[in-house]
Amino acid sequence: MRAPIPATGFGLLCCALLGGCSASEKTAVARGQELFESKALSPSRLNDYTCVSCHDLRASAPPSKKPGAPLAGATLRSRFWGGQEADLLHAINACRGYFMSASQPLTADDTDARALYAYLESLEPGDDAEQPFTIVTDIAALPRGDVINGLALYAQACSTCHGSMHDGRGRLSERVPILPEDTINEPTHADFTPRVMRLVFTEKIRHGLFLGYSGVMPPFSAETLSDGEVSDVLEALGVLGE
Amino acid sequence: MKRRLRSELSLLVAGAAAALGCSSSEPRQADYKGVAYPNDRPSFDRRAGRIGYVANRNDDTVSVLDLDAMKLLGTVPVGRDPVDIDGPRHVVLDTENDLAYIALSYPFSEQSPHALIEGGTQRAGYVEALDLDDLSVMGDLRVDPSANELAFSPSLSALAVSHYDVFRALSSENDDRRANLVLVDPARDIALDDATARRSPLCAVPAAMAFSADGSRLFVACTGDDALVVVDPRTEKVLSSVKAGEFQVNKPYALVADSARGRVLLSNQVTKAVSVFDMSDEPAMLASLPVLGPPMFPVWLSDSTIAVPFQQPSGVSLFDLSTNQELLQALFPIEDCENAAELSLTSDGRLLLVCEGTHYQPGSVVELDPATLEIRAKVAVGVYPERMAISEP
Repeated sequence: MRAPIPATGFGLLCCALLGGCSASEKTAVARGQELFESKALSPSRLNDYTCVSCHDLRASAPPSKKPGAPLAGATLRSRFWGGQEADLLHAINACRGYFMSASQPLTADDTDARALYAYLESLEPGDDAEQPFTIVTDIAALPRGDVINGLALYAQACSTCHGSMHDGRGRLSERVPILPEDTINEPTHADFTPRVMRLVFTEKIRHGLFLGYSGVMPPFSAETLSDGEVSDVLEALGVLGE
Repeated sequence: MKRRLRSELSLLVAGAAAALGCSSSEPRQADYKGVAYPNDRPSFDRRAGRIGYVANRNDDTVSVLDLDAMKLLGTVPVGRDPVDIDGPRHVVLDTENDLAYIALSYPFSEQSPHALIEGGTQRAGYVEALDLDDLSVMGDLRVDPSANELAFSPSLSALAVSHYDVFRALSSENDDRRANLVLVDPARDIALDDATARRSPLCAVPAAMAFSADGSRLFVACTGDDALVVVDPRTEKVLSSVKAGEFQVNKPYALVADSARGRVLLSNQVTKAVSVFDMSDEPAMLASLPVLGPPMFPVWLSDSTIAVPFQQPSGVSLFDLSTNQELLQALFPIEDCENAAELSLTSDGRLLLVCEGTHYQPGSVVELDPATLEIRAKVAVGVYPERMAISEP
């Protein structure tokens, strides 16, 4: 395989050779990046997310704790969502529908959908391999964890959306619960024992909105957070089950 | 690589266009000129040979098999939900329109304790229309919870959907126990997202169905009513409901019909017997054929011989319908075929059996010797298969 020419650079080079672009012309790649980084990918006023909320562009070391896979190379992949989606646009629409409250899916003819594709394509080659995404379906009682590690993990995995622990400072919006108090104090949780409350938190981390739950939270896969790391987060939250 | 070259050329064009046309003071967005979201799915050539389509209900996939070579061609994810189990139950083929229809049952939709506390309820089932070439989704139709079996009538271009709604049957009384029969006519409209579901109350916990060859009658195994029910699909009227077997409780589940032979075979799980009915508006039971375990979907091998798969233990029995005597019985070790589910006979006389497996590990499709019932070949499929649709070249 020959060395790929970065598509963005190629397009910009063409512009320059042909006399230069006016600032008033927004390329599809630029529009795609704008959609990627803003809430505009969904028209819903209830949307608090951007793609960046859950995805990095490229894999990092140590691995990111964002729930979604790095997206450079997504245009070259054949499977998404841990193999459960075989179409990139379907995979994007799943994010828009489940997390971003979009009521209508994008079609391949939509200008914005095409712009988003242009931006993702500009990130090639990236990683073209299917990204592991194992949903932990069976929720078990986890052993106690490490509070120091849990605080660091909270900062990486939770605070982007939920803001600071206990006061929610910096959270995505006022709709996002402050952890752990808002969840503990939900009226429907009033009768939960500490043990059950710990299972509820574990289930929410693992299942997000899926598997009979609700809301707009994404699930954290086994690859993103190990059981030990979930224990650490619970320790930091003070959801100890006792 | 061609795609990349096409993309780069398109960017060149886009760049040129942008450079020539960017005099406007109003910011405007240039359209992407390449092929966005290209379809890179593998396609399956149905003209080359026999293709089998197996829905795997516990891993949300369809296994596509080359039945001539007995090998797996591909495993395609299906369903609407990328995380929950969509529970694809059954594929039927509409070859005239190059479509397949698949029922999504959402089998675990009411099992999360937290969801129940939050007031969660059953999820509606769906039927998806898939492009038969690559199984990409063309459209879907919302039906009722526990969408289960499908029956397609080429004569009517109509699709029937049953709903194996145990929850409704257990939580309701009298006529409210009945789940709806959904009829879609023409079924191809599902691919256009423009289909109408005609709903009519049918019976408690309906399971397998089969149309008569001309589409004028639909025969339904009604588990909850312990009955074989005959429906006129044009009027949606239930013409008759006859007892499923000779015992007090029979629990019918699987059903196959053969218009040419004028017979309906109904598999009763409690009595472990296959009831043979004539194919009339008021079916009469002609025979009851006992098997070793709960019977599933049988097949005719000839006018006088049927083969019946059964479970616990897993095996197949051959019966002579002229004498109603068992001719042969084969039991399979679980490593060869656990939970035998559906038999099919190809146009060239090959006998194929879907083996469900454990329901948590991959199942399989095996080829049996029709005379001896010995396993000739085996191919692994996905998790919890039950039925297979076959496309003949």
